[in-house]
Amino acid sequence: MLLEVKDLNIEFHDHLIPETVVSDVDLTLSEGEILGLVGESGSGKSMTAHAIAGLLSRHDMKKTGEILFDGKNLLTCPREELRKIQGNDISVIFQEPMTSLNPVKKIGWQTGEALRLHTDLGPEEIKRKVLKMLELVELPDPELVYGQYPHELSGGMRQRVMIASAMICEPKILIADEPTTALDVTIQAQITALLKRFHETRHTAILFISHDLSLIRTLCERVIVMRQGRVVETGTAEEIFRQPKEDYTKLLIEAIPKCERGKSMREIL
Amino acid sequence: MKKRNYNLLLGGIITGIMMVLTLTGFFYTPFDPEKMDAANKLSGISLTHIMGCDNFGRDIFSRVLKGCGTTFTVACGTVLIGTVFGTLIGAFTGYFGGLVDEVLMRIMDALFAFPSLLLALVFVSLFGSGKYHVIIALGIAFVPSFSRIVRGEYMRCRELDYVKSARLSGASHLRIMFVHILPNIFTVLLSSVMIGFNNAVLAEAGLTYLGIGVRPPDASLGEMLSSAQTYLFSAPWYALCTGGTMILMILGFSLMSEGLKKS
Amino acid sequence: MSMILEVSGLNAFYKVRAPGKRKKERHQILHDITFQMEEGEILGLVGESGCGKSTLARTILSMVRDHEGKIQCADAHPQMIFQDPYGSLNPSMKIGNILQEPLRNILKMPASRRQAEAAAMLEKVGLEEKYMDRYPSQLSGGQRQRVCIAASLMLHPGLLIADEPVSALDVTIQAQVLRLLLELKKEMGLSILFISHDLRVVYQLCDHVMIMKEGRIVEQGETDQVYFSPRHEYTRDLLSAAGISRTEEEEESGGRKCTIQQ
Repeated sequence: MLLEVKDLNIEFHDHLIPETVVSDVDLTLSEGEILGLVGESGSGKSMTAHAIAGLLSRHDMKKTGEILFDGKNLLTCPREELRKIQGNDISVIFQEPMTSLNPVKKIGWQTGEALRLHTDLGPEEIKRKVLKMLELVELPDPELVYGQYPHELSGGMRQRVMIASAMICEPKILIADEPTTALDVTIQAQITALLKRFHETRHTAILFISHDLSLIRTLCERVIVMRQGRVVETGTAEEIFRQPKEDYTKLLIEAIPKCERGKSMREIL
Repeated sequence: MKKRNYNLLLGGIITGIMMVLTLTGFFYTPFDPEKMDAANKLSGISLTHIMGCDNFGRDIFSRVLKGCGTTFTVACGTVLIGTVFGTLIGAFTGYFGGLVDEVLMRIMDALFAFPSLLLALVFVSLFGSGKYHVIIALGIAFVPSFSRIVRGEYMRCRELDYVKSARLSGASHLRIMFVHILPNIFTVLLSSVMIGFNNAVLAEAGLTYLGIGVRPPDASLGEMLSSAQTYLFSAPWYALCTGGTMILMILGFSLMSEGLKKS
Repeated sequence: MSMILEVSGLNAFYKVRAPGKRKKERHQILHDITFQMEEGEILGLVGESGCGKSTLARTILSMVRDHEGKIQCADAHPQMIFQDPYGSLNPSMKIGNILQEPLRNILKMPASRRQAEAAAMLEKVGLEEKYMDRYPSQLSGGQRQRVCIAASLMLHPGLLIADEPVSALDVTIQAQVLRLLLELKKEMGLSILFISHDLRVVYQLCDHVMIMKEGRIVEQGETDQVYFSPRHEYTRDLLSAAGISRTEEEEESGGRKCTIQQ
């Protein structure tokens, strides 16, 4: 088992009444697995992922439970150790490729940042690795992109850069938080394919978070359905889509618009 | 657990007390603030004169009460002129953009380039000093900064979808500017009004200190502070009490604006 | 059947400042757009971001001044619903007042009648009268989009332009809002120009579809025809990227579901 989350609870204390955003969440991620985390807005899926990535360090929230990775509990381990893991063993891609890259830094610099922090490689070596990586994520002209700024790239290209900088240290776990939601369908398909390829060639475990069930089905082996901070149903993708047990899962699956002759809303209503 | 907004609370209390004192000063002072009494010249703090007396033997507390009123009037007038004209100019330039924006904003830039004190100085030397002239002079000096803030907000808001919906619902430009957008920039405006108020208090003191602001025998905090300077060592309570009052007035408003920003 | 909207030979331009140059350049966004909409039909406009679909909507609503060509709309006050239900309602106005705006500005209706009309419309979109006194921030995303729909229908427009009205909503809410739009269309005889990047959603609603790419319409026709026998390469790309592609043979044999496929 690569990662194990036990009994995770997250509460916010910034209002009159404490607000529970994640309650009693258990999940496991094995090596080289793609795990899908599905839910609507407010289901706590992003919060769970951010907790795993060690990104929840606000003081007005309470976190209990365990996130076990490599024998350490990421919720309680000292910041020093957490920093060693972040970007090196666990890295994250966010939804919004516009804001997740630093607008005043060149692409090459941003992509190599993790290497600079986690390895002792010299600048030459880092540049070589970065260029290799930019090529791996299928950017058309890595040499050119290396010296460009984020605003000079399209949304799809930025997301490729994000993936490149997340994958450069060859992490064991990649957390993808709605990585394709802000992209066009055709680009979406390309990015998904790219992630899948990384998964196959490097055996990276991916925690894929999305509200899009059809996307989850094409990509994930196992699926966790969340609602209002709780896990509703867990199972393999096939089980979840063919024989959903819970009403909420059924509701979600039914809500996917169907494109079959005579079955569209306009014809039924 | 709800976090108390201590800034707002404390600022509100201080401002409340200051307002009560100021209002009292308009109608009642323990002594006549202009009555000189040679026997009490620079007398210290006592039960009858709780802040002591100044170099003419006038009761400082009474003069502080009166002075708060003057300072408050000047600050309010200044901010009022600044806000009204600043909002109008900012709204038109920000909402319409283009040529109107270019022309008006260049004029504002030119105004802004002058230090506000210098501007007031020129105005006062042209039209004479006195409370109302100070208000107008400072008011004009305050217009550019307000219009910049408001303009920025309008430029942001005019691109929002609810403004587009308002246009589709047949609202006129004026209605969109002042009924649809204005309430949404209220918080920004309010906090800049608060800061502007403080700046006005200080600017009035500065002008009076230079001898071109409020003229004696009218009491104002700035005027008192400037005459207290001479007696800083012989009668420190004079400067301390007037300065302290001014600090409290400004502190109250600063805390309140900080608190409003948070809520 | 009479036409509600006829657009022919439409070109639209934006002025953009090219990097490094001081002078703004005139940039053509729409190229020779021609289409018609019948009364009571829902026309889908599909394309990826930046293809000009929102510009087309804005041009029809005469928000883009720099354009050539003919736009003939049978409705004096066509209305629009926007994508983001959080940005399209004025946060400082009560729902009731938002709904009354068009009645007040255009129809100059007295206050008492406005009130009644607004309440009635609110009920039509499935919200109770008590929401009249609420502010947008007190509503959920789905409720807000219902309010947006209500506001756009206050003048009983013939033409409604819906720019990605459900793409910011959760799937379950999405279905409800789409259903509402269909019901209202039937009840009020609306014509809707439905703009979306989501092919599945468009399929649910639209009688006809236009596929747009880089400011040009590359394919238009009846929904089933475009979806199941696309003629243009780009349409095929879009369909397969969305996982809706299937071949003629599959179609004939009843085939597997194309909803979720890999």
